[in-house]
Amino acid sequence: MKKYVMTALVAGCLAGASLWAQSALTPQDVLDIQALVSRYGYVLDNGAEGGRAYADLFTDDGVFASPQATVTGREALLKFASGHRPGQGPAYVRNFAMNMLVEPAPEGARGKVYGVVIAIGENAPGQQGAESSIFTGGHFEDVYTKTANGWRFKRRQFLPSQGGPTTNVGQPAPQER
Amino acid sequence: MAARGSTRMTAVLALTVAAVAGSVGVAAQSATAPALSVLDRLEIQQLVARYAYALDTGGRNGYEYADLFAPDGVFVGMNQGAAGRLFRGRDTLASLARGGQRNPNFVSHFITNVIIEPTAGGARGTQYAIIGEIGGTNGSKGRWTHGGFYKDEYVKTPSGWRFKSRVFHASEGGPTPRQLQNDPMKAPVAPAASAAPEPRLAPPPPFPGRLTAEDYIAIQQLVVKYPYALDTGANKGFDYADLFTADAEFSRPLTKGRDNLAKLALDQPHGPNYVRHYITNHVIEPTPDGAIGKEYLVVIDIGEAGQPGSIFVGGHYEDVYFKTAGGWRFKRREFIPTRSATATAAEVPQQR
Repeated sequence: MKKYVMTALVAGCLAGASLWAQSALTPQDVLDIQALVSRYGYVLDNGAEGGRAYADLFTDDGVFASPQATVTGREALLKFASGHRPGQGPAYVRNFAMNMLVEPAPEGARGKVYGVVIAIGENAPGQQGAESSIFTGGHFEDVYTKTANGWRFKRRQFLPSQGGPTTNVGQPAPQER
Repeated sequence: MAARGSTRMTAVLALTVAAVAGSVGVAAQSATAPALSVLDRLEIQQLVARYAYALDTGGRNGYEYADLFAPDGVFVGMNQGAAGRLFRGRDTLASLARGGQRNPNFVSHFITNVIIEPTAGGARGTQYAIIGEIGGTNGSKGRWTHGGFYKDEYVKTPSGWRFKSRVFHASEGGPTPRQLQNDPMKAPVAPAASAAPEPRLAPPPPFPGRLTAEDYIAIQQLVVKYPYALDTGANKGFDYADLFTADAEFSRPLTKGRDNLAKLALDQPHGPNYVRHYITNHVIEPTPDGAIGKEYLVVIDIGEAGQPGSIFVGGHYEDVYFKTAGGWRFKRREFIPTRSATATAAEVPQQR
């Protein structure tokens, strides 16, 4: 299949042009990485297999980082996701991912993803009106590596949104666009 | 149309084995399941995206929605009644996408986290959905009404990929959710609906095969770059401006020219870690000159310092894409705020 080469890179993603050609991504690669990123929400929300499903999305030396913690390695990742979150279960939906940007990189690929955590109100059968709320949001910055088992997160960092209207004092008012 | 445009794609690639499939509510693929080609997966993505438009707009009096299903296809709402409710038959399915707040500019179903896997009979998949009453004016404080996930079976018909079954489960916390206690295919069957007037079917797009898998992915990525460029204001707004062709225009406010587009980006709140524009449900169609597309947008003001977030505005984009020497670019992008049928009706007297 013809190689798919992205036409632009985030500055600093690549060390040099020679690496660029080596790291072309096929459409299949991009779709597989989209699927990896999509799975993240499910495994975090359902806490499947005591956290193993979450850890399996990462390489053995994978890292998850957020302002609260940095979790490194399979055992730590498994413990991190092992059912300590309230509500986790097979029908629990909370972590939504959109805007999946994927680009080639020396390690394989890098990406960015917007995330929003929505606490969905639960209604009894036949009822409506339970309130939902937007809990938090931000974006992930990812490094992906292609392993024998497919694409995996080598590193995933969550960066909460900063600079919203409450902190954009003096900035022009938001407009439709 | 994506489904028609894919017919010339011949490459069939093995799908990466999904080691975690069972954990996301989709059984691991069978060792004998045929591989899905890249175009198959893209077509199913398009089917899933079209679902939102068909359901929210009620196109062709609901039949646009019904025609996303195979002739024997079913929809099951496991959040309806004690054991769910099953809808079968074209007229009955069409009745689900009729009335209420529907109109051509109404957006409500934001569908994402799309996973697609091959099966012996075709494919299956799952997605998250968050459903809301999104305000179409700035700061109108829309609200999410409910959310959950879909579980689908897809089948490839002569007209392209279609839903064989689509089951919605509302989000339900805890280890033993009520909605998973019953077989969706054994849910009580909803009464059959009568046939309704059906507007004439639009002619099929006359440009099959104009877009390759690479084109679809590149256009997806162009659209995905948009919120990053806008919300960060990177490179003094020129990362945003450079997503457009030299003669492109953005419609709201009407903006043309690279410098003006860069200024437009800088006039918005922005910062290196700022996120606001959440985009999904991306439909792509070939045209003689390139491609057109549409997506849902919800602008979310994420709460900071522990504050809850809120919906600022929502609607959909309508795009024209053009392939330049530097890759695919926006030739035109229009933002159309969401309108409920109630709001549209209320505005009629003012228009007179």
